[in-house]
Amino acid sequence: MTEKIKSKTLAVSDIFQPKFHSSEIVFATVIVLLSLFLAAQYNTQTKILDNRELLGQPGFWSWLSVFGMVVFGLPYFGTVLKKFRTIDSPEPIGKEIIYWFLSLEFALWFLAYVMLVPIVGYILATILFSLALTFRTGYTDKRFYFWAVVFSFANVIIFKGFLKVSIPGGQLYELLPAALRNFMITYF
Amino acid sequence: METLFSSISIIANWQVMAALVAGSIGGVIIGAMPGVGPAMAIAILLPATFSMEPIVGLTLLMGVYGAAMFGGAIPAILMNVPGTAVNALTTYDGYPMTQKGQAGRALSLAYGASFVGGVFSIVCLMLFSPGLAEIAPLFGSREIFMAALLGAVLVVVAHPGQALLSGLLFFFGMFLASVGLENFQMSQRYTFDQPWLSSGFDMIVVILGLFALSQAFYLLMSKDKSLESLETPKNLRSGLWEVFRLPKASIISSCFGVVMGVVPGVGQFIAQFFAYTVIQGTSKKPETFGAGAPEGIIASEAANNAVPASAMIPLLALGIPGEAVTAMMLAVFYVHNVVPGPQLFVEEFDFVLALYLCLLLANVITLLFLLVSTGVVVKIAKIPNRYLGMLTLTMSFIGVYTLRNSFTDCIIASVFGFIGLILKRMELPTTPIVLGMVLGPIMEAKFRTSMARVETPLDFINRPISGTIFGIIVLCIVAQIFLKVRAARRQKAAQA
Repeated sequence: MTEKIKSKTLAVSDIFQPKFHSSEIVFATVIVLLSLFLAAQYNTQTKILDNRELLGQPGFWSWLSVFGMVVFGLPYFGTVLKKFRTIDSPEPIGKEIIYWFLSLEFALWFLAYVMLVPIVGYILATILFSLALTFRTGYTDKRFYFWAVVFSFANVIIFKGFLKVSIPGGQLYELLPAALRNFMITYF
Repeated sequence: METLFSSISIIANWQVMAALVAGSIGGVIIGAMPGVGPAMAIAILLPATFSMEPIVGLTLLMGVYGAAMFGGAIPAILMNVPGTAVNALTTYDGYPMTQKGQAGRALSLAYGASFVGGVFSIVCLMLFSPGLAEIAPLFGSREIFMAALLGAVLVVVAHPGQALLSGLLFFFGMFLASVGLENFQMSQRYTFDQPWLSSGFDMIVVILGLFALSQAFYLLMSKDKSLESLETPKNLRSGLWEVFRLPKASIISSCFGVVMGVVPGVGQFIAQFFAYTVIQGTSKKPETFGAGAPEGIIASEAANNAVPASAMIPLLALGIPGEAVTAMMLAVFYVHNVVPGPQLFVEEFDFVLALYLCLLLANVITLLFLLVSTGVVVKIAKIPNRYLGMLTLTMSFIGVYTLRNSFTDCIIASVFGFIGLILKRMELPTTPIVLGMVLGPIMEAKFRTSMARVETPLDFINRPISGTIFGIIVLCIVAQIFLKVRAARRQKAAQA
């Protein structure tokens, strides 16, 4: 989308037509299998009332959703399969899938941060998290670490101190004197 | 006039003004950073706005939404990389102008056009609103159901080349929204005996995953781009008045933005495309388009900036959001028990007018800020990708965790972040999932309410408004099939 067009006349495909990626076949397979699985579970995962037509069933909307997924999913899979078979130079699928799963490392970083907040408190957890992630992403210049700390402070002060978002105080704050503890719980 | 004074009194307080300034300036900065975008920023800010008055929260979010498009023009013009997806067309003429040493002129053209587009659309809406207020009360359950159905159909047909996938993802979103305890017979749906699924999937958590976490993962996995050579352009007022010397380009493009802004999902893209094509087609120098034509920049920027105000129409008048950002704004209404829809226009028209006034002021603040602070924004835009990913992931915590302080929510958001990353890598749309989650429950509720009053399916469409909407739905589907068949025939003929 960001590449310059050669032609002086703009075509709709310049904006809308995305490039086909070989790995879409994996996505299409998974989502169609999920749709079929959910369709197969309709009778066990929704309450079926006797002597009621489908429209009056409590699970009607789930049925409609899953039915829609199957109705759109099967032809979608067909078109992706067709594109996959006719593509001239397919990209390596394995490499792309590895890329997807490598991103889960950062999901784990995020969850670790979430677990750390109720223990050490929002401010300390945020500083530790931003510094550690700056290090993990390979920055060596001290300026990046300085700005990570500044950002963490600003973040905590704006959201917890000023906007009063709901974040519990850390267990570590229990060790502080009463006056300071209250201040920390309220603002940090 | 009394309503106007009442709406001015609603916004005349320091909280609204602070939200206006913060939203406008924050929006410009967010828009100027390629790979961030207003949807992600709004997703993160959303829970923080729940403790604010609705007008304050909505002003902040609308400020971010509108100003991001101003800011998105900066990297589009200086680096050939659109700050937000809707600034893509700005690169076609903006970057060639930069290469010719006219970056300042190109930026000021973009600022001026964005301002004209934004103000024009707000003025149009203010003029149309009394009419909308008269029509809105005629919308009952059946009409709102049909309008939501139209939204669903438009989401599918408005994704050329991806209609089947958009339909699939829309129904997937609808399915996610249907999981958990339903309030018709109080039975569980698709919970697989898991207690954490009883309350279903929270829309905000899914949105944060799809827009914020996925973007953070994407940025953290990417390579840094070298932007050190990026320089602040001089003479930032040179093209500002040029916009007014080319009124045809700015007014026609703004009109496209106003009309197309109502189309769900891709209103901005369609508006830009039509505006650019029409302005090019009627230009005295069409050959200059794509090589640094001022009208090209005006067409793109005026059209995309006219959309935010227009996109608020279905949300405010019917309670039906047209795209992800307005879907998130719907959450702000619900949290405060303010139900957008026909009654809002009747009972709280001053509130609606106040929102438009805020958007108008946001455009003024954004323009003034950019004229004096583009240099600062350019410096911020130089933040490396992975560092930006770190900042985004840190801020995503606020969005997800502060909702309910739930670790489960964070896991769900991470899963949807993973799904969002996959979709982003394959250039597939995420908006249909969000709209499925929003429109699904609206359609179900209105469908169940209507069922008590209809005897045959025809009763759904035997009223003037619902019948008209049904006609539009049929027209959209027929047009989509016609275009598909024609494209297939052309392809066949080309191969023969």
